[in-house]
Amino acid sequence: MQKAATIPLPVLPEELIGEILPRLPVRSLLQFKCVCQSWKTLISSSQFAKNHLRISTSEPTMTNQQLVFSDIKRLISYPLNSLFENPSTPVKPVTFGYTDEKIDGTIIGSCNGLLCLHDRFPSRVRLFNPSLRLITKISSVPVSQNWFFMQCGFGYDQVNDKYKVLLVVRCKKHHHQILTKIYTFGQDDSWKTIPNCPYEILMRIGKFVSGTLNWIVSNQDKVVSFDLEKETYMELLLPHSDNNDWPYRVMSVLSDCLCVSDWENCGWVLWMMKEYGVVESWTKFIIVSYDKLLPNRPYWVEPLFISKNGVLMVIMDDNQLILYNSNTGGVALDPPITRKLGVNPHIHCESLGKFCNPIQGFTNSDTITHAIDLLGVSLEEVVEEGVTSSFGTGSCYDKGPSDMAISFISHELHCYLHCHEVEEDDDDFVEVFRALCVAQDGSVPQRGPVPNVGEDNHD
Amino acid sequence: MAEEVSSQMNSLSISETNPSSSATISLVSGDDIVFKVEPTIAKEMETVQSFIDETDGKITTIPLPNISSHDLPYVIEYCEKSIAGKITKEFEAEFVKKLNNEEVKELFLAANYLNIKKLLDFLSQVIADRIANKSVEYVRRYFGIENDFTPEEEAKLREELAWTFTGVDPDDEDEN
Repeated sequence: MQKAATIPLPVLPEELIGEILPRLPVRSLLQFKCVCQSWKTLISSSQFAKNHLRISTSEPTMTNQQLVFSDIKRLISYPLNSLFENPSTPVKPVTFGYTDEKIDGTIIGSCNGLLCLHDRFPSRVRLFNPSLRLITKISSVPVSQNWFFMQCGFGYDQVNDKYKVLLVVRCKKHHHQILTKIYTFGQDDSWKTIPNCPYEILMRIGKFVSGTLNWIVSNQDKVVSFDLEKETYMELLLPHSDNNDWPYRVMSVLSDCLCVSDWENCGWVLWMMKEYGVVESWTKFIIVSYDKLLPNRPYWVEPLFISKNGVLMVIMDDNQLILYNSNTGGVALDPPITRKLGVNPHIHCESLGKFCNPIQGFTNSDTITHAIDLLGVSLEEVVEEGVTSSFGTGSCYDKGPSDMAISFISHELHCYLHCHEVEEDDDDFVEVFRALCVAQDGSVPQRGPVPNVGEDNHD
Repeated sequence: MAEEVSSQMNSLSISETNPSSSATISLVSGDDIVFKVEPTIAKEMETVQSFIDETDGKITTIPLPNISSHDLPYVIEYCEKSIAGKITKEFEAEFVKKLNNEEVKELFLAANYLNIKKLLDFLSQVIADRIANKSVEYVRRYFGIENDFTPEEEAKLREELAWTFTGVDPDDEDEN
């Protein structure tokens, strides 16, 4: 083209690059950290992660949205757009397995690209960002085995920029004894006991919306809402319905709005609270008449997601997924997806979402966690010692445990062993040390006297 | 203070009554080609509109030295569709189909220069779609970015991110 002679090849200025990159999938962004220094800095910044999440959750193509199921020992993730666009064509899910990635327990919540995983025996929690493969270390155990698990909820306290988990447990011996425990990620590793909810709840997992966790109160037209910032309860009235079959009401969150579905005379009705906390804003969002429901009168109908063009995805009995077009009076877009996808569904938006105390969840992390546990050194202390390349709150998301961090921990461990005159054949220490040495330089020290790796690196 | 307010009001009334505000606007491309457009089109281009407003609508010929006569018709076409409320998925798909990578970038810069938010958003997404799942080398070439990592730094970074580097599309080079 002749114009090439007069107008030089366009180079996009940095601020325009900042317009383009937040629209990319997380995986591409991680790769593109290798493009140049300034891209790496940009993609690693927390402001960028926020922009990316905002664009991902609002863009209509649902590129970064996933439908995640938790099985007993693995997570299964399906791209939402393919389920919406070609419901009948099976898509290959991404699986995060137990054996290679050390994931156990079920998902109890999904927020800002982070999944909260809960191990039930013993009851404890951690955060997982599947897109970054970052996971926090397992929390301490909130209560002894003599308590069983009743309710839980996971959400984000925007005011304090903290992720929190709430657990309600009941004593196995004395059934009237109930405890409510709360855990804040990135704070000290302790569970705080807070006042119990003043209502009886049967619903298990609280729904997170607008900084609150919400449950339907049993046998009442009420929602109990727990404010994650203030850590207080309040109640909200449910919309008036012509049905008193309380157990069939299902709560969900669609487009960041609290929703409750119910069986009424006209069919299955989905109510949406357009403005959180404003009872007057309950609106009948969609009605599906009984003859249009597939299959007829299912027992369980749980809405999962609504697309920007008004197609509602619900999950029914036997984990069937069905799409309803809310624009055409709730006609099912058949056929339903009946193949086995998984249980315990959650909508998850891929993100560069960060949290305190992350650990790259794969290769060496468990070894390091183990070592740190044994040393009684917190990750914050490691950071304070200047080893920010691996665990710092800023750059830690870029990398796994670096050589530097490993050698630092090796050194600490080494000093610890000397100070405490630990027996040479103390299995735990030797095992950890061996793993650290492998992680550091690939060499496997012989069993026996503690090797001098730490000293070699720091003297 | 009072003087400022009255002068503002004055300018408002002038632009409202000025007959030239309903006349066509001439946009002059960097290579001196004149494009006559309706004032409603100019309104879509914030940069052009503020220029018109600043001169109380007296100046209707606007030089756009950064935009070539090759790109300007595309911008005008998009603005026309936007005013008519006819920006559909199909239109957008057709619109970008005829543009190669360099042209998309030029239009993107033009949209930025003219401050047309909708077009800028749309083209951001187009570029993102074109580089998603491509190799790092492809992206560097696409944007004309020089690799400022040392080979050691890059190798280390790639190793740390090794798990993300599976299933990258082969580089399909733009013909131009």
